Amino acid sequence: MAASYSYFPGCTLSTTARGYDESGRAICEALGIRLEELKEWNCCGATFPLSVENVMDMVGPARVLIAAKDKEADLATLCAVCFHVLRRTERYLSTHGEAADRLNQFLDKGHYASGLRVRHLLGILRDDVGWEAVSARVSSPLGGMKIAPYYGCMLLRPQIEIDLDDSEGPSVLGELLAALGAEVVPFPHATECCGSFLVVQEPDATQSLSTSVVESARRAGAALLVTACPLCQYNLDRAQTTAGSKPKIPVVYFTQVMAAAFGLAEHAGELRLAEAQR
Amino acid sequence: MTNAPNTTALVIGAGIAGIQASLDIANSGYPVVLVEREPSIGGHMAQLSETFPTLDCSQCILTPRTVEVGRHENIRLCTYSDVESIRPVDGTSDFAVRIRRRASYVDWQKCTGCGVCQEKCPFKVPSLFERGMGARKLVYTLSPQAVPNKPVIDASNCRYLQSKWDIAAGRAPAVDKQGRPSVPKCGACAKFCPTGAIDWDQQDAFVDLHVGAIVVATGYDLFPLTRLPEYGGGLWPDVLDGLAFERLLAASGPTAGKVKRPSDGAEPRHVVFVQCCGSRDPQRGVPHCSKICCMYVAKQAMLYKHRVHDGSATVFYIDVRAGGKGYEEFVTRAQEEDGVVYLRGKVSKIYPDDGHLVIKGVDTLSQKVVDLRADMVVLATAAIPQSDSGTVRDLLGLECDAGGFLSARDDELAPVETGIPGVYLAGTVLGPKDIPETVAQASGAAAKVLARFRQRLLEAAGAAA
Amino acid sequence: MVEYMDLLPSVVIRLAQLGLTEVIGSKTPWVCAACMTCQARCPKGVDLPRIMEAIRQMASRHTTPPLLTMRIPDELLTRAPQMAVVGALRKVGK
Repeated sequence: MAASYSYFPGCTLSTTARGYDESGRAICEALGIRLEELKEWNCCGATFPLSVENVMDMVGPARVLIAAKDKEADLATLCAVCFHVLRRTERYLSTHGEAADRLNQFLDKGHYASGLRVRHLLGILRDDVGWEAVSARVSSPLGGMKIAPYYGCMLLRPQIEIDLDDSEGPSVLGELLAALGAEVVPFPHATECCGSFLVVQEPDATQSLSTSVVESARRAGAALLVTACPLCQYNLDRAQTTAGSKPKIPVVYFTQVMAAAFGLAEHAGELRLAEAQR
Repeated sequence: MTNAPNTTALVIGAGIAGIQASLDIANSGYPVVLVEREPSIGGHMAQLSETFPTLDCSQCILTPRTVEVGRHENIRLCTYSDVESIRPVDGTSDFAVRIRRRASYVDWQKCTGCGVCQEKCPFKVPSLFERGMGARKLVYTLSPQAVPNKPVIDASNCRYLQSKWDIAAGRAPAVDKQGRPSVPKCGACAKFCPTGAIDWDQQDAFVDLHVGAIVVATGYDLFPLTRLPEYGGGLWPDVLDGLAFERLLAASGPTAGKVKRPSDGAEPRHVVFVQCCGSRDPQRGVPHCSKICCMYVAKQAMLYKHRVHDGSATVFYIDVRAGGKGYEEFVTRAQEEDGVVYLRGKVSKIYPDDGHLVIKGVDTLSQKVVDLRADMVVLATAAIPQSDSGTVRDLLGLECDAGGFLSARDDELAPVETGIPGVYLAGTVLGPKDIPETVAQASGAAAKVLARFRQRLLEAAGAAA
Repeated sequence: MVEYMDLLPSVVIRLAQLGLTEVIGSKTPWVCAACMTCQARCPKGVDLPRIMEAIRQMASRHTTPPLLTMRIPDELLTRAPQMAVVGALRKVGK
């Protein structure tokens, strides 16, 4: 399997969430997925602008699409928010020609019309690689470890545009975890919001939302929470620290869980700690 | 003989619509062939506990009609059957019909309906009639009041038939370990049947006939619970749909009329009803209103309160649609006399917690977010066409609307006619409706049939004169 | 986030439908996390996130949005993933 993808890591994965990026690259290499980081890229903007008239807000993500579109490969992302923004920007520009024209007139170089497929690594693993190939690469099966898959918001909604999974009853993370030998622990708050960027402005509300998610997973019997978003990881972890939750349920990236199962312990993040505690 | 006009009617579907139409036509002296897919007649009305707005026992008002159908000298009842083909008869406006009578593996001529086979069958599967609230044997009738009261064998699960066919096809060894010829497993029903009515070699049979008119009355189905994962539909045993709750309420149902939680058999102290599940939902369900849910939810909430006096019933609604005769008064009675709490708002999410169900909703009248814990949730799911309604539609070349319900020739002035002379529609095959409207349409379709027959007889008499 | 809102999202939509400008003074659009659950659940597919954003922009023409950069605690500026700060400033900040 020598599939090749352009790769957009995004700002957070290049700094505060480097573990996500590194584990992602490691497991892709292990599976024979070639990720070629875009030579020039900028911040995706971290939010998808909903204003119809003001296309300037989309200049940031549009420049990323332009950098990727000539590569004749799909654009892969790991950060759920980057995925959301780039995917929706791509969908919007390719279906609203007039807005795309106005945007392209602003740009100093290059233009975007349509044709680039923005993908999330989970979709690539499910649709291009296949769970069987993932299972085949497992050298240290997770031994029925109870893991709760947490999806959050950006990875799934709005379903028609994002088109990764069913936004009310998603299964892609659960299928991945099962392929790695974990015991998947579904829990009712798997698609509820962690509070997102409002951690900055409404910390109490975010604390409350994130705590609801963690406690819902805990009541379902989870030993570990898995996510695809650095902001969810931060919020769910921080909520437990703030509340002094004992025992703390580690919140790790799905790529780190894969790394652990593939025997790449150095990329397994907090999972090493959880394993040691068992 | 060739000039005598055909005055036999075919009625497809033996719910209350098909039953009413058949009786009206048969009582006027014309022969009727009534075809029903299930082993016995009665449709969804046979699954109900009580009907609104009278709270009449559904079986009590239905059974006299089903018995009359079963005994009527002018009605040929073909249950456990499908219409295989319908073709025009050249040179006439009659229809050549082929009916497949599926093999029940029981000789209904010999069977006396004693029920010993059902008693002795060692195996159970979930019963579709009981909507998952109960089980049935592999040789079964749908209910104790079934018409005809003759069982059928569920071949796909029957151990005897499956092993018999496996042996015959070479999928199972032809001899056992001692070298004796293999015998099929089980066969308990045949061993105990006092009249030897079990017929393992029965085949599907075909009935070919000509008819002069057809009434299509094949009914409706419910939106699947699994399409409502945010409400836990199909995920949690105590989240039911309306027909399943009806089976719990029914005295002849799987719990003898005791409302019990499927999860642990306990009596629920608080039941929440959610209206418009899938209905009025162009985004994720169907755009239409299902018409009957506001009324049956009020009915079910009242019946629950009658059974569990200190229980609580809460209804989440967007509107209350109660336009029929006595309907508004019925809903008011539920609210004022039986203490059913009505909250105006949609439910966002339902999930389990510690043996209960958490319901997150809203009451827009007070602008309060509502967080409830309940023991059972009843989802009033949308009424939709049967998944195989396309079959009958294609057999006849009928039109249907955007929602898949069959279309009448004119919704206002010809509501039971189709574009095909001699083919009429009645009941929920046209769209959601209550029992009074269904019966009225059935009699309307029957009247059209009778008019057609009368006209043909007059023409024939005129031609002969 | 509805527990932290002064008006229910459905009330915000209703006021907007009726053209009542008092909706611009509501706290609700500013505590919207853009999680899009509302749009996912709405049977009519009403684009609430877009309407909330429009009200935020309209409000921004008259009043200062709630989030000011200088008020962000150091801990968040240095430890939180920068996507949180960028996102917050773009949605609810100036």
